[in-house]
Amino acid sequence: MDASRTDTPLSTFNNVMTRVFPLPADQSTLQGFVDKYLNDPCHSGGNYFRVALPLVYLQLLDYGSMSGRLTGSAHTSQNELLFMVVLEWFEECVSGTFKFNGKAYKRHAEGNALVTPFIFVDNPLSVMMGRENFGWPKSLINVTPVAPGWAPEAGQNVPIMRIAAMRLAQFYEGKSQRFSTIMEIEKRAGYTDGTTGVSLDAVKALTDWWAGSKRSYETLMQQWREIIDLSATNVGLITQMLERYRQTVSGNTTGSGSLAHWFASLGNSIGVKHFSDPQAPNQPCFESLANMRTEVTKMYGGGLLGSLESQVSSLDGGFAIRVHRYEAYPALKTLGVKVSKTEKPARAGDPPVDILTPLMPFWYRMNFSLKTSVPLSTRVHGEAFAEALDRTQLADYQPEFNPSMGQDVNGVDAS
Amino acid sequence: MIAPLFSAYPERSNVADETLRNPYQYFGKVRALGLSADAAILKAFLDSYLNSRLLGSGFKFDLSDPTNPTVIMVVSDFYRITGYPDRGNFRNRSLQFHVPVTRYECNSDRNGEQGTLQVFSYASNMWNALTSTELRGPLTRHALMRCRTWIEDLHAEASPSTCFSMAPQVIGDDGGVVSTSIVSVQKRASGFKAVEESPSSWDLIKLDNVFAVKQFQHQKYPGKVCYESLVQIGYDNTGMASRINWRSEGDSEGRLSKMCVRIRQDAAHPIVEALGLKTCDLHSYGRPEKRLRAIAQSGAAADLSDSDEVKDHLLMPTFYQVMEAGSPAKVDAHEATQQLRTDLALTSEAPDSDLEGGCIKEAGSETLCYRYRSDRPSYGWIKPSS
Repeated sequence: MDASRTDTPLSTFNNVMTRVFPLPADQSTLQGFVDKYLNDPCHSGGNYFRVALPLVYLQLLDYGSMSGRLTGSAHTSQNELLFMVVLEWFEECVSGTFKFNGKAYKRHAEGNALVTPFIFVDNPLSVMMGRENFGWPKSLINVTPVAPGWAPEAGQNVPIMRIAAMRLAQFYEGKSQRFSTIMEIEKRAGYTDGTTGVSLDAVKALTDWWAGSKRSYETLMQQWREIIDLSATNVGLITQMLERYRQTVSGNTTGSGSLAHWFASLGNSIGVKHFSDPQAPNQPCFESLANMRTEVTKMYGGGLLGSLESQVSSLDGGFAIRVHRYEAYPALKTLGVKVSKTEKPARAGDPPVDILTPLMPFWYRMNFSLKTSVPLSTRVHGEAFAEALDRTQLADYQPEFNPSMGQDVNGVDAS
Repeated sequence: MIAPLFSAYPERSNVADETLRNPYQYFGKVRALGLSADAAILKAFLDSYLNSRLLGSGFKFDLSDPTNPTVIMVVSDFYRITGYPDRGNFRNRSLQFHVPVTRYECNSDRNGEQGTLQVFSYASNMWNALTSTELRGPLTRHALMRCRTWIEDLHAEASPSTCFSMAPQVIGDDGGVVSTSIVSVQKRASGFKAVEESPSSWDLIKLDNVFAVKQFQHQKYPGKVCYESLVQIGYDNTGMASRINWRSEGDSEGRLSKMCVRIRQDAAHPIVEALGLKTCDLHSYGRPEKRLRAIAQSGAAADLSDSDEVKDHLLMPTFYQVMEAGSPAKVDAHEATQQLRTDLALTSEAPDSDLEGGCIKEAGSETLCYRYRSDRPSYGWIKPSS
């Protein structure tokens, strides 16, 4: 049976708790990255992607269950950490109104898309499925919730989540590989009104720079307080919060604000499926730009992350994110994420730690499905786009994937 | 200039793809266990897995020894794998099954070349699994591997014991994906119904020419491939030294006959069934996971119905060979503390001269032919040179 002819999603993800930490980033650095990663003429396939806003969304997802079309009711779960960038999507045309690199483009019918160039999951199956089926560059991590310490001082940062990845630098012959902490998420303890450490001037400068508006900090906080309505239902609260969020960060009440971009982009995830040639590992034997189309099928609820006290006194929700600066995981540098502070290594040999301040973190719980994945371009062994080649050997068969003849446990679309 | 340890795609994008660039050097022990196979089933596997797929490519494979077909179970324990030259180190255990084959090619002077087809591959290190699957070619799954001891280190009169076990992720009864032991090497208990088989003359030093199918699923058409190729990987094994070579019952106090390989029946890992491995016995027992759950829930083992049974095949190796490359004593002193770099060339320290000799070296990889499909039907086989 040709699986693509059914309406069944490739994968379904249920009861997914998502914590979103928006991080301010340098837009030109972000665009530079997107130009190299997606807009490379070798594989862009006539598409162009422009960074929609100077934000990188750090997301921590806890998947209740994941299942796929190939293995019936088999299911698994995972924790996932990813860095997401929201994009505007353009396609090449003869006489478009947008010009990039000397070519004419028009806005793609889909409008927006997202790309997640750094993804970490704690399920090995998900690593291989995500990478080899869909081109998501997943790395293996483990995620450890950390119990809060006893009676921390008010305002003291307490780690609540620790994320570790395999580190070659920690490998010594004769010993097993081990995970080293690459990131910690901290939350301030106690009542934090006025103790956030974020200067009001910095917040004002950020909102001015971001939204281009001259709103006062007090105005911003007033808007924030209006959001926090404890009598609202979950659905009502998230609708209200997201609309206010959109207004706040976009600086306008109509049109395409940043949250509108964000939600519009969720349906299209752009991946680069790339595998190296064993004869020349710097070159691909196969690469394909693909659009994974997803659909949110149920929203259980959502809201702001952090205590009421934190929300009315600052924009970080009381959270801080500590990123250990390993060169194998250069997400911050690559994406131009703005760092609030850098701590020097505590011991010789340890990496420095960059501390990030999220901007209005929020959460939601949902079900979603991966409907399909469409190749936007394909090339093999250094050739140009496969579609452009005049192959006389076109065959009408569709070779089947056959991993050693067995029922493929990797067929669980744990992506 | 030394190339980066990790591939970065695209170049300079800083998105590390977590595959290690070849060629590689391997230091550690390699163990080979010969397992007898049914000639007809193994030939059918070869035709189905390889020859029928390669129709039109000009390549064809046959069993190297159809009269005494043997599948080689290779267990490696590398305390050091590094790019070549030295680009940093990591360790890995792996388990692979190899079918000795002869290669034929239309209009080629390489007809009759001997090698092995690598199938059913597992690695304990995710980097190794990704590198093998995405760069070298053989589909390699991540699995937990535990090694308590090896048979040569057990006293001849020691009680039966599991030496090595490999546990990949499988689909459990309740649909959940769990890690379960699929292959183990044990000292067998008495009462084992051994099967008389002719010992194979295959030697581990011959593991120098490996064929594999490199394959990726199509993202739009699951179950179909978007790319597949036939790859050939060469190794220089001259740096390996022989440690153990048990070929018959008389060797080493008959310890070969006290070994057994246990392979669990599992639909996702049909190793015995697909390769036609000859088994000595079939053990049925209650599913241990379910028994543990029952104990945890009720404090006592519950009755287990027939459907809760699992079956393990017991196999007796026809030979057991251990070879070693490198010296752990020398390597232990060498700290592998080089930083990973994705955007810059590694300014690696000079390779340790003590480590230059006595290793397995990859001697080059080659894509023999490939085919692919985008959103259209598949293109036929293409040779890179064409």
